[in-house]
Amino acid sequence: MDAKSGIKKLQMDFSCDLKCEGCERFFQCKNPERLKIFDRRRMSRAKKTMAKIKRKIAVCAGKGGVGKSMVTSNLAAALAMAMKKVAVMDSDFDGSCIPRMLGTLGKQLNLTPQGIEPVEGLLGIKVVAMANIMDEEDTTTWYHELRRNATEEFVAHVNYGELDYLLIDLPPGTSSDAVNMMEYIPDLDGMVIVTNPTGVSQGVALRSGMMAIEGGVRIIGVIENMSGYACSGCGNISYPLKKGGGETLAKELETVFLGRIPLESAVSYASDRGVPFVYANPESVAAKAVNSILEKIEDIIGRN
Amino acid sequence: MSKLKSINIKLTCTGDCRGCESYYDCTLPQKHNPVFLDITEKIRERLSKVKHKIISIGGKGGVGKTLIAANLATALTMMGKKVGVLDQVFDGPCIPRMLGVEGKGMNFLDKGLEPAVNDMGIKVVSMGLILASDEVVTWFHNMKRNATEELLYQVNYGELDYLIIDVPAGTSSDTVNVLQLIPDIDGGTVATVPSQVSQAVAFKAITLLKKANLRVFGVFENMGTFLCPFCGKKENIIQEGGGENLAERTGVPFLGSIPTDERVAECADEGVPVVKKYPDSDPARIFMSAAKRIDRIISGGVE
Repeated sequence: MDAKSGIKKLQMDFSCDLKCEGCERFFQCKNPERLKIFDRRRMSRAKKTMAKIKRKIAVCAGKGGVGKSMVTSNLAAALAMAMKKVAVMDSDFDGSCIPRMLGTLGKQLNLTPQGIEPVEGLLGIKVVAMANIMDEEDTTTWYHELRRNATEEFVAHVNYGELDYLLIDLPPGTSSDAVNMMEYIPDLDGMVIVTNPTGVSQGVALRSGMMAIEGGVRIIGVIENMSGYACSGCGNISYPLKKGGGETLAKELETVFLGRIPLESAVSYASDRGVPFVYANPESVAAKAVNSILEKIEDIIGRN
Repeated sequence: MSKLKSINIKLTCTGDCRGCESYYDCTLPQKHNPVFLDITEKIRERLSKVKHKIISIGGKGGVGKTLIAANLATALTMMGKKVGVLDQVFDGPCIPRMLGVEGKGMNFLDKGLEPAVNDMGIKVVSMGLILASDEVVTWFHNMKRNATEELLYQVNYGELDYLIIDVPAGTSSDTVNVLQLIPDIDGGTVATVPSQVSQAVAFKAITLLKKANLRVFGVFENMGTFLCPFCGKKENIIQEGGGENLAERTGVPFLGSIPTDERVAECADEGVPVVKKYPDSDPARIFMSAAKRIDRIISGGVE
């Protein structure tokens, strides 16, 4: 390997066709016209739909399977238990999990003159998700255009009504769905980043943090999930996925460390049963962790 | 009120099959257009000396797709095979770290882009070798497809017994790109954790493999039983039996349950897969026997 010319980039360029909504470099673009163009074409309806939602929070991780949907559904349940009006938008189209976790699996979204009517799950939490549209065995293989259209349906044509909170559960990755969401909800109150303690996951979550910064979205803080396990026999705590990745990541992103949620077998059972553990086992360590995390989030974005 | 069975987001046919989102659902005869075939021809040439290709898929994220890819590659290398790994994850590539080539970079030489090579001789092709660690990719489909094409027809794969392809979570863009662009994939392995949430998503991944007419070598269950290091009690943190259940439901083999073990995470972070570092551990045994089984199936043994 002598004649070294380490590549730093792949060669792919797109010239501007002024179709900002479909552009892959929306957030890198310096053209001041882009927001106007986007606004005119796509945004007005979305703005109107979401006008009566007080706070909008996205849950993101970059990496998959670290607990985005679990955190989303438990934050939603904790908020609903505090008598807030909450809706959850599941923007994971390929592997939509929110309906199972909030007990709306099998219920179907309805079309009314006011738009798509969300289904109601536990505690009256409103849910909008692909799994409430298609059969469980159906597979989506959408690329960008279809995904963007689906995101647009979910933000612009749903009858959310008055809400205190809209939580948005993002799929893994930092591309299509995450970017679509940031484009359509420019007034997002912030993004919560979830990671597990491993270095591998932390490295990917760092990229999702960079994405939020690029998109101009505030990072509310970092949650470390799967952090420690208390043996049901002897009660000793061990760390099968190590410990401390969340805190390191929070430092790297110069943001708040919101807390750690331990592994508990009740967590997984609760998710499969459609009853978030924060409601099913309110006395558990994990439930208390979620409540304290929610406190911190409200401290940061404000209460109303 | 009418029940919603699909959302109205259809695209009309533009004749551009390469970029079409409905490729696998399309029944039109003009689906195989020449432009598309031209590129696959180039790729076919690049991969002509790669004997077998296996894709590691899961549908859901964080269930161990990359872990499986890294360990299968290592196990096959330990069996004396020449192995390469193509990391198809652009947003959050983990393969370079797990195989210990982080920071190595890929170089452009006479024969094209040279993969990074790890201690054991595994050739690694990944976006993670091109990007800085805090650089973020926000590509949609076209950019991702171009990247997939680049990583296929610019790279000098050379002679390989196995190319393991690691795909990101989901069943869309990146996965479909691979299935369309890489000719003659031998089959795929499926990862799930025991929970129903994960099983349901992995089910979709298996459906996709079947749609693309690929053989499913089997299902791995990851994050299985955990042995308390203090008292030795067996604990099922994320429930049990999910992998077997999924395998049964979809009629594919079950390749084993990988226990939740601190060493697995440690090895992944360190860049020496568990199958090499702790060859006598349970996770290592499962990976090794799966690798042998797959090799047997592919080389024509009865199964």
